[in-house]
Amino acid sequence: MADVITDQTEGADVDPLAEWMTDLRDTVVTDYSEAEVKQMSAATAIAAAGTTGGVWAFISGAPILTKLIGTVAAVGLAVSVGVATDIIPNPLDQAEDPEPIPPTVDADTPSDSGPGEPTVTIPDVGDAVDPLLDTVGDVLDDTGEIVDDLVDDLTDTVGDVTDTVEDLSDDLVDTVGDVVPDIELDVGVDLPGDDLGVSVTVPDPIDSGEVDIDLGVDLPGLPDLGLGLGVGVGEWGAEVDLGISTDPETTPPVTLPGIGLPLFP
Amino acid sequence: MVYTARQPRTGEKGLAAAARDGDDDAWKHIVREFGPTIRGLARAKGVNDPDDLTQDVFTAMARSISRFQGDDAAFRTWTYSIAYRQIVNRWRARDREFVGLPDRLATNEPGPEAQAMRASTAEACIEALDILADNERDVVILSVIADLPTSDIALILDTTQGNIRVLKSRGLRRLRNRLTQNGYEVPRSERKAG
Repeated sequence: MADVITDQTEGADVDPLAEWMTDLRDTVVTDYSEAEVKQMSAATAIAAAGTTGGVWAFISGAPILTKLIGTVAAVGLAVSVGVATDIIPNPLDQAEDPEPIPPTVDADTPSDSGPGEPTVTIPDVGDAVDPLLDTVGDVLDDTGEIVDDLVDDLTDTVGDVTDTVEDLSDDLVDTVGDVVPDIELDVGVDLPGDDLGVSVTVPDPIDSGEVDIDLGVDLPGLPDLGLGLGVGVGEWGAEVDLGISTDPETTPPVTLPGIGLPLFP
Repeated sequence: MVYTARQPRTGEKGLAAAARDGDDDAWKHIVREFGPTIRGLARAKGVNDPDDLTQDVFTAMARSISRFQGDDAAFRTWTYSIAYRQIVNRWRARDREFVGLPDRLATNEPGPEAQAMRASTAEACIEALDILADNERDVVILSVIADLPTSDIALILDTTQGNIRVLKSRGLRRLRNRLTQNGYEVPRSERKAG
């Protein structure tokens, strides 16, 4: 025991068990600082996002009012990146389906069924199981390290790809701002699923300005849902289109009839 | 929604529902309210890295909270169930060789003297648990540190309430006998400070 001094003045009047319980609670339960709370809750939120599905979004831009005011709109790009966490074993699976805890019932343990009933005594197999547990522990250690390394590599790779896409988008934004009358840039990062898609489409320049904003949401257990909002401003008016697709990667969106707004009769 | 630490929530929306909806304040509240106790349980069980384990518990909760159903009381039991499983699994899988107690009891106390004093007291308290069988120890620390009722401990340990009462009674009796016979030694300055 550590270098301690017996509190003899209180020992006679105070229940040592009560003292011990208070000391145990007060010494091992210590509050987290606010900084630690923020850090842990942020890490938890990332884990939660990785489970509830990634949100991928892309915004395509095109010059607005090109013919009317000769201005080129900027292209916005949003990339939402999650972390692929599904490959990590879910600890709660173990919590919900716990391994049986080796019984350590003593011979003098009273039975729940009441006094006088025979007490079940289970042989102690701990010595035989310990080497096996050690081996399993070593294997789990190795597996955990491999998985950790794999996750690190994947995270780095995703980070590199994201950086590249961002650089590319910056270049394209500059280009659009200078020259290109119409460009569509789609970037979809779908995590923690198995899709990582990036596509860049440069359609033929069109005379009228047009802005399309598309948002794809990937939720676990539900089909992908894509929403598209297009605003076209032409020489004679503006039009708003709304497209809905249950799976934007495999089926074309169903575009609702556009609503035309006559601006220049 | 803003929560206050250790303040019961009586609003329409429970803590679990708010966390499930991604409420940042709810998660902060969860960390603030349950984190210290989970870390305390890990310390008392001799887990090597209590902070890492605590984060693992919250990560597991975040991944599974969409499946949780129940009120705040059930949420507390659910949280400590996850914590207990994590502790048991961690001990079996990785922490077969523990580091010294002072390393596990690193605190935010100001000054090395206060830290050493707290660690010394905690060490004395935890060492007293060594006389207990594993199941007695689990019941005692869940009762004393997490302040859980018998019914909740029975759910967490997957046994009957009667068995929990027997284990708790026997464990506390053995602890009292040991503390009475040997004298419970407490650092005086810690007692005065406390």
